[in-house]
Amino acid sequence: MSLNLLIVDDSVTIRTVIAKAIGMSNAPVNEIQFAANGQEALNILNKSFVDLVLVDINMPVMNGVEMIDRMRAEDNLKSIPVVVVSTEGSSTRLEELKAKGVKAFIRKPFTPESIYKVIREATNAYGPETAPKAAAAPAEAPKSGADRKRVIGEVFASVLQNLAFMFVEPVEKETLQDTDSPQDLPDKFVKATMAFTGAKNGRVNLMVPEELAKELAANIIGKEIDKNISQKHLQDALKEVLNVTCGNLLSAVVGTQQVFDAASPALTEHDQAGWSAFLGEAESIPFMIEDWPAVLQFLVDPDKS
Amino acid sequence: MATPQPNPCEGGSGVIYTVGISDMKVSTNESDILVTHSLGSCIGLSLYDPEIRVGGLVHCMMPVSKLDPVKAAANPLMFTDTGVTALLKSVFDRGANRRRLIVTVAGASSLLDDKGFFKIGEKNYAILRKILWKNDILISEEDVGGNIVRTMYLYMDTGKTLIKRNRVQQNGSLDDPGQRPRMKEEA
Repeated sequence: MSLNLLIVDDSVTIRTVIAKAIGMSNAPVNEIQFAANGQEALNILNKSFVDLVLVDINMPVMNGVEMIDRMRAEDNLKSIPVVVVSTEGSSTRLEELKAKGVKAFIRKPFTPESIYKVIREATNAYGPETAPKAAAAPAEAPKSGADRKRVIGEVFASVLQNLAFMFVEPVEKETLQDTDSPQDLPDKFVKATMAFTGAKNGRVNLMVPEELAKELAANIIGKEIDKNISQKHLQDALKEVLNVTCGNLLSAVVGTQQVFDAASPALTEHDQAGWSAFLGEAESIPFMIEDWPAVLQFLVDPDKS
Repeated sequence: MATPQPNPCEGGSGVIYTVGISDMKVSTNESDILVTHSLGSCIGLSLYDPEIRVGGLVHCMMPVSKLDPVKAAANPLMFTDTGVTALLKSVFDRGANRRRLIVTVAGASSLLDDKGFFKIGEKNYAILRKILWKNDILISEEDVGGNIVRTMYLYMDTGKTLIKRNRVQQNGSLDDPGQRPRMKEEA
């Protein structure tokens, strides 16, 4: 049996990564089709035969939950197995997806082996081990500022290590505030920003040198840095790093019970002055990602009362 | 260099080659058994192509060669980035196909690093994953992490890799019940 698969994700990086993982697995695949949102996916599903859909949740135009609802409402689509590949860590939303008949859940960052395993199981019989599961709750919710900062650092390090195979070390701001020798600082920086809404509102900001964004893209896609790393890949990879970081931070810092929706990340370019200003902000948490500086902010708005 | 020894396990004409720390062995001889001991935070990787029966085993100690270019030049097998690359090149040079490879990984423990300060094992594992990902190779089986020491055997007649686990006692000695090498899935 050769499989026809549909990968639905607004990130070209993630679509590339999932397709590569499937290609590595020797799975009997006839065709892989791609869609950037739920609406595009429904258009494809209505005019071609698909054995399995792998879908993200947060996407522009039509998100994954709405796409699944529309599929379940149509007789010719409702029996197609759906696997969710997302940063989603909300136990409430996972239960909701399970009730809608989602067959399995893969949380980003994932390994290529997990994609292979789920496709193999989702296209045969489903075992209980592939049923949607809630993300593990943090052992203890971080309370103090220092504890919260430590948890944010651990989550960020885990995401970078698993998604891009890179190592993160927390550092002091002074280490990165190289005002005496600005020639040691990179010239170009990219800042990624994304907002989230739901039980809490807020945003996550990440600024890194452009050269680091290239390395991140190369590692995530699995290419050598000088080959096939376009500006589009670089930008998309950084957005995906922020997206996965945001999803995992919400679970670890805010909790796994609440439901959040996240907007697509936006990018802006900055010079050394922009870097220094961002680093100087009170909420900025500085890191070294191997040989490069990076600054992360995780901002949660105060509750309205 | 991997050291050949008489094979006490099989009782046949095969030879056990011990792959030391920062060492590698590639074989095309079905009677060989490749073994590496003392995999703590180090990473062990076995590759086997069942169609042409080429296999190899490497035991790397540190994650990246840029940490010590002098040592890396003297022995690239000491580092996971250069050691894993060397093993891949070696089996590919003998005709192995990446799509057929049976890939087994062991080690990457956090021995003597309870607070996770150095994270050598984690880093070894991440670098290994990066190289395999960039080479389009999936891991077939793995037994990594924890606070144990492992021994890895690659049987060239079947291509099976067996992983034996030893707990570390408080006095630093290994708890080795002396049982036969066992399949990971039996553990």
